[in-house]
Amino acid sequence: MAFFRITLLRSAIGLPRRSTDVLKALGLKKRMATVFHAVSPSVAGQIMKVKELVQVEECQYRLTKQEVHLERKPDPGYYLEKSSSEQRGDTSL
Amino acid sequence: MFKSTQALFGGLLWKTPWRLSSPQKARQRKRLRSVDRVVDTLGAALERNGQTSKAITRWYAEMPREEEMLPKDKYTLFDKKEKSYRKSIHKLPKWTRVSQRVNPPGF
Amino acid sequence: MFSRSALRSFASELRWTAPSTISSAPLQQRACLHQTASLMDSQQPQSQSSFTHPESPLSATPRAQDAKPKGIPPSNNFNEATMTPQTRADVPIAKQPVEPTFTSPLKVTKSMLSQLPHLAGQKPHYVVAQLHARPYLLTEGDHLRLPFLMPKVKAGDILRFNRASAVGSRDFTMKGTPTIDERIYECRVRVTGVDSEPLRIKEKTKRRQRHVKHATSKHRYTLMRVMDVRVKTPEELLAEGAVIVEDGEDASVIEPRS
Repeated sequence: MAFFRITLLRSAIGLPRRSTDVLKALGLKKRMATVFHAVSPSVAGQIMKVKELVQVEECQYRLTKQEVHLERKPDPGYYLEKSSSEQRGDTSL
Repeated sequence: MFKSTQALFGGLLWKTPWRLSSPQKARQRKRLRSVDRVVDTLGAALERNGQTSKAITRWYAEMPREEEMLPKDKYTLFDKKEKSYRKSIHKLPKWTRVSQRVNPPGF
Repeated sequence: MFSRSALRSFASELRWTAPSTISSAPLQQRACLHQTASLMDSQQPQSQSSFTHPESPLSATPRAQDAKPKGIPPSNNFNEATMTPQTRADVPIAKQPVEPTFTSPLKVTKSMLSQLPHLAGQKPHYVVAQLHARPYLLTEGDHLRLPFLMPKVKAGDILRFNRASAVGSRDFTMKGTPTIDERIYECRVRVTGVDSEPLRIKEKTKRRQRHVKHATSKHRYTLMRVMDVRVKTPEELLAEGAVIVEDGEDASVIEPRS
């Protein structure tokens, strides 16, 4: 089962009503929003209507919203080696 | 030292350059390629499923790709009111978000 | 009543049969598309490809995420191996400030191991630590005031910074691709307290109204002191079980200062 991963890059402000409605039908409400749709001719036709506004990739799995977010989340870059309470325990010994 | 210019006489005067700058042209090529990429992705994905779509088949049959297009078609479009029958593509409303690739044959 | 249901069943029958009749029709169009697709599959220009399309391979974006992203075992009642992250609370352990567990030993290239004593012997060291993908240039003894309040730390806690894009000394720099393996160096930081800025008051007004709303904000920042920045010597690395490999493409390199 393959999916289209569709990201809205350009807004449809000022474009004909049809393009706005197609985006709404695809579930794209704001720029940089990402949705997943199963590969089918009808979805492909919808994307063709707004092909100048979106970026499309084909992928194998439908990711959740959080998974899409986690792709961009950087590592914290730190971890707690020793908490202050542990150190106090060390000194009392 | 009053110099009679249109801006001083008329007040509001907005001017649009008659031709595109080279970065504008570069971005226009980039946009054309990105549309090609979207259509290719759709076509390839449907082909893997063994399906077709009329919109995509028509696009492949009718539309030239970015690398096949002449510079004339990339940056200008037909206009019957111009002396040379061509005007720069940035005169087209919403020109960065619409596809305008083919022009009448012979012009 | 009966007639309507009969009609409905007939209609549904039509609906079922309709797609099959349609799907058999556009075979010709498919043949047209097929050529371009086979071109794409082979990713190579074919001699008899149609003249409407270029000879170069099509620019379709390659398929992404063929394998489901796999993570390391769970943290707080969120099992990564079995569950997919659904809410904002489901964060894999690799993206949490938790001490990492290593499965494979550290790999060091020969050239780096030969140059490492020069870097390790020359104190003091500096490190470009990446906290939430933002760089901080640190040396031993530095006081650091983070531009945010670090959660779940108290004064006196000792932290380790484990993402560094560069570690260096006066004459040598080790650059990461994009980060250096965290087992090569040690960067320890002690939390010294929390700083707070003076209360900020912003007047919020609306048109044609005398009422003025005062929005206040008072941010707090974590203060830290860098305890040590140290590069391990080759002997220490080997004692910890580092494996020596041949020089590769994407390994960190030590560069002398030009």
